[in-house]
Amino acid sequence: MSETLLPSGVVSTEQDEKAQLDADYAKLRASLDAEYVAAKAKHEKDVAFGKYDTFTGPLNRGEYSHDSYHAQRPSGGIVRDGDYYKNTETGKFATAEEYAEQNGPVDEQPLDYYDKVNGITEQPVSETPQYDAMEVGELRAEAARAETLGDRAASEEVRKTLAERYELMSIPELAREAALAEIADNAAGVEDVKTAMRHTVMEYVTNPNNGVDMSDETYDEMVANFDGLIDLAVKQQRRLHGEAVATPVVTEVTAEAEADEEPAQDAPETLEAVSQETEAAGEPKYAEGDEVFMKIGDDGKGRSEVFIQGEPSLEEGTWKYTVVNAAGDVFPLSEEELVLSDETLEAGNEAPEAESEPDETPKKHRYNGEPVDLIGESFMGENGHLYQLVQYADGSQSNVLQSDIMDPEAEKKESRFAKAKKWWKDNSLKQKLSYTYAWMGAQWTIKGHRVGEATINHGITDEMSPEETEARRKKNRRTLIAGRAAIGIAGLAGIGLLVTEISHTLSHAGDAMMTGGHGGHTETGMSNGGGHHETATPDTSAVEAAPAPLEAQSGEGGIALLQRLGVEHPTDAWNAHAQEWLAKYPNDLRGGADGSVWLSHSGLLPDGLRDEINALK
Amino acid sequence: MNEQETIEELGAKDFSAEAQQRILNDLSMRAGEVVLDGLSDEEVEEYEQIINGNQEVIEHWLSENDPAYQDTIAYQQLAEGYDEDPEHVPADKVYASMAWLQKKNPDLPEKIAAIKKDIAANLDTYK
Repeated sequence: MSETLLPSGVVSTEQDEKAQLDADYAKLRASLDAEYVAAKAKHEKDVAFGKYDTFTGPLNRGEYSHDSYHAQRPSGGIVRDGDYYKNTETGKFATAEEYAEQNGPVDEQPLDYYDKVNGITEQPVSETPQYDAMEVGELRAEAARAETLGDRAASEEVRKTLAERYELMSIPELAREAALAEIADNAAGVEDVKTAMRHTVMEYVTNPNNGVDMSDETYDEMVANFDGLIDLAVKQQRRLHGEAVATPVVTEVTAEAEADEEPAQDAPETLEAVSQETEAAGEPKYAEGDEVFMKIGDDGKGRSEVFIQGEPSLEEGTWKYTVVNAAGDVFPLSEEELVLSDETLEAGNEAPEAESEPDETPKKHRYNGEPVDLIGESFMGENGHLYQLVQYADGSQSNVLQSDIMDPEAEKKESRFAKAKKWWKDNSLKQKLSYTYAWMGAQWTIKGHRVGEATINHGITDEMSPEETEARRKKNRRTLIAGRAAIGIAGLAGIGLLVTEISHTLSHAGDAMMTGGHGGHTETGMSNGGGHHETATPDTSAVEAAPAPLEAQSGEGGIALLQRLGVEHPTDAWNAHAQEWLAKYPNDLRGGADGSVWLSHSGLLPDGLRDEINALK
Repeated sequence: MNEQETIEELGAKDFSAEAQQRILNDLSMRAGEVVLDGLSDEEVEEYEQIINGNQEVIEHWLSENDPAYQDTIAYQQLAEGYDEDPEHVPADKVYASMAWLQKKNPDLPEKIAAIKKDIAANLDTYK
């Protein structure tokens, strides 16, 4: 046993040292145990609060992960570190204001970040639509949009809101809604309307105050009637939307034949009377579903489109029809109050040849709405205008301004532009959708795609680097937009129109400019009205330049335009005429739901509008 | 021609909605590949700038290639629904994108028709 002299002078034996070591050990052990217990408690708390939780869910192939986010995140600049902000380049503290200034608006949404990373710029993040505040038309558009995007949640929400509105509608309104849903191939929408319709009918037949037979038969009969009303409304809407509808063949059944169908119901005298009356009135010109025009205005020259509803009836030798207009209003009209088209064929004139073979004869030129033949070549008058000798149907001839002659090709062109306009009405929203974040975003999760098959991720593999993935996705987006645009261009080509083709109104104005302009001809002293039956020679003594074409300046409104042109009280003048001009020049003016009208573009405006404005001076 | 009419034209009217969606997406992607095929990197970049709404590029291209674009029925119709369009997609961007493709692909309708024909001949692969 060794001995050690301690500083205190106490002699320490080996046994003392061992005891000391044991004591030190016990003390250290107790300390470490306490530390362990504390650390363990902290760890368990961290675990319980999810500090070490990880998630490796099934990401879309190529989708951003937390790692890829960090990899691309800028390393410089001001970052948030707990409650403080630090400049990572200088290592110094920074202020919250500096941090906010660097990061932009504090309410920036994650989607903004996506836009920046993916190169989709200038696509505002849409707010959650307030369906309750929307009109039915807006809700209908929202429903179509949600359907297009495959947004099932939005679709359900819109349907629910629409269903609430349906409950408040009248039966004719519901029929119209059902028809609109039908032509949009929206079967769910049709069913929603029918459900509301059945509720309305049920309430009606079960309300004792209505005094109706409360039997199931009554209910079934009314529902069947309303189904028929829907069918009619569908026909009407298809026509209004320019879709082909099988036109009911004008019945060949004469009144006598009709009488034959139910001989027991009528006395012979009555039959004879009906027969004589029918013979006097002739056959009805129109049948159920026919698209015709009612005469409007004091002079009866105005036209408004209506559809024949139901079978005509003969009253006092005149055929009476029930018609329905675009607004769904139903009212009676006599045959004299209707015309077949908005142009020249009127009821009472020669019967329409709708059921005959297509007219193969070449269409004639027209002047002031009358068919004319061109005689010889056009010639230039001394006033510099081009004239053309024309012959009317009665053989009389007249020199007229060439620019006032409508040729068959121009009419065809007119029809082509009408088709183009309809095409754009049907497709412009879809074309625009391709460029939106919402639509492109929907390609990630669009229904009908399994994970990894989404179009935007086409061709992306797990082996690709984040950069390659991004490049591929960018290319896919570009390709998809180009493809949808290309299909649209091809669709337009199908109706013979280029994307870059000038609209007909302006084209016509351009033609007029090339031929010296029309509008000056009435000042040349040349007869173009009742005197057309005599050959006239252009009065070339008074040479007047055609009025300068009218151009709207960029950003110029209608009132400002009138003011610039020197019209007195331009605001009053615009308000007084804008609606009329909107009806005449729909390609150049636009109307809002509140009745306001504004110029739809800058640049050249139609000569007709120019002349009407000049007349106000 | 809307999407439903395209489906009917291709003879896929009776296909499931899922299969129809695949057909439409395939048609779009193939159409896009065809109309962008063979273009130079500079041209592709120009198109990328147009669809991304680079106003400077759009205005420059339109002024150089289609100065009267505001008079076209296409632009007017695209601009007409601007106020009602919740996304407010600029009409000049969409117009320029389409006009650009049309100019670069004089035979575009034939190209699209060929793709449709091919899809119609291989409809079984989409079931």
